[in-house]
Amino acid sequence: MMSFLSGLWAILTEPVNFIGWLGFAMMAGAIRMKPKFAWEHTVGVWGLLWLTIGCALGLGWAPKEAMMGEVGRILYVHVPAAWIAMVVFTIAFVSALGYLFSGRLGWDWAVEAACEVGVVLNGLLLVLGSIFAKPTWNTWWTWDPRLTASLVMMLTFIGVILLRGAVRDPNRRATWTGVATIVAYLNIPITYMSVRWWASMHQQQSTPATMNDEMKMVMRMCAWAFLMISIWFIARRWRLAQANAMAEMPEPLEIPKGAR
Amino acid sequence: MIPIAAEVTGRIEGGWEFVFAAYAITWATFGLYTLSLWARARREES
Amino acid sequence: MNEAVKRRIFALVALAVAAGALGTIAFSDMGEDLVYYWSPTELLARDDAMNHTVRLGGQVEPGTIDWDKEAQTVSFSISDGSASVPVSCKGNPPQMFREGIGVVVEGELQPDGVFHTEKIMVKHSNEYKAPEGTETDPRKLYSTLDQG
Repeated sequence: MMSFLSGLWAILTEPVNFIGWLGFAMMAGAIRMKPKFAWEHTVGVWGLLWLTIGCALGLGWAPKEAMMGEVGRILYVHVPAAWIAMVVFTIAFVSALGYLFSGRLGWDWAVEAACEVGVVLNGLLLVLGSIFAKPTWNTWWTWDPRLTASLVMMLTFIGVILLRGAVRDPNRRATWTGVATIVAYLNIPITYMSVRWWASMHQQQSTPATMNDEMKMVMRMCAWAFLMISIWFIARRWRLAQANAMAEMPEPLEIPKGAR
Repeated sequence: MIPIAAEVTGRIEGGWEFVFAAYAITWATFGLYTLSLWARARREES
Repeated sequence: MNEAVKRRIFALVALAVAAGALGTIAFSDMGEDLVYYWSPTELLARDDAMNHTVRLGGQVEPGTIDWDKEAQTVSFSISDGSASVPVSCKGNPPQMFREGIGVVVEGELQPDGVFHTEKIMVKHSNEYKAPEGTETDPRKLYSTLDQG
């Protein structure tokens, strides 16, 4: 436990993570100060900046991998896509609980937004993984536990989105989406653990100890960039969900006394 | 065609096309999703 | 029943269902039947494996790689430390193929005792290193193969 905590502390205090901490600080500042533009644009621009720098360093500065050669550079987009897809699905999960316990539709819009962004990242993850697998493993696709679990994860959340589209009443829709999202979240621990539970083609998670320092830095940089861009996506998508909900709401009526 | 043993070194040589494809698809995905958000927001306004 | 109470009950039931399913998968042995590949020991222990397309995984046993230019095949043995199976592959192995690396091959064990395949997949470890300096001991790569 202590070694886990000290390991976590070492990861969190690494210099490259200032991208994340500064990003969150800027986000908090923008929310508080209420500038003329929407607050999420600050993290959007910040994420885009670091994605540019991260990709440039990944292509030109990071060393090639000892065995995978240049192809190892795909790690800097593949791994962040995996991490952040799971983070975004976690946001959907927490928002689903938020709605079911509070009844506020704002949470429901966050579920709608995060599920969609999560599916986009998950789709990107599968395509990048396929491109990575061809030169390294010698196949575009194989039904190994990790790949299968990642595909099922995406299909499940597509199912949640489809289910959502099929329910008309806003409150019912929110409840159904929330319940479906919580159950669908089961896929995230399964996908994460799949490489440990079952013998698979996919390698296990790397740890800071199993990765070259420059590679680690570029990967973290890209991961923060993916996260910031995803926060921007979710916020933009949330506003869309909000606008849709406002549009479909009936004109406010005089509520009779005594009725709920 | 069978390579002679020396040709299979245990290391991947080249393969830049896979790297460029991966980075390009990443940017394209983000770009297209941004575009879709923008288009849907515009439709909502009108 | 009050709507808010109902929603919270729904949430708790959904959580319970998800947790229950996860626990079942994690702690039951249903994974035993879900095997992506067999090790040489497992393959040889099964008498029903002959002439069926299966996956075999293990380490390319050092010193066993043999290139046959005439027959256009490469042959080697896959080992898991206690048993080993001779493999014959028609066609090119992938670039990362080498002695001591982890591989998964798709094909069938034939009556001649040789596993015939046309597809070698190379398993990379979770170690990512720069090329200069110390090189990864290929035997270490195998350590991530015998999980699960």
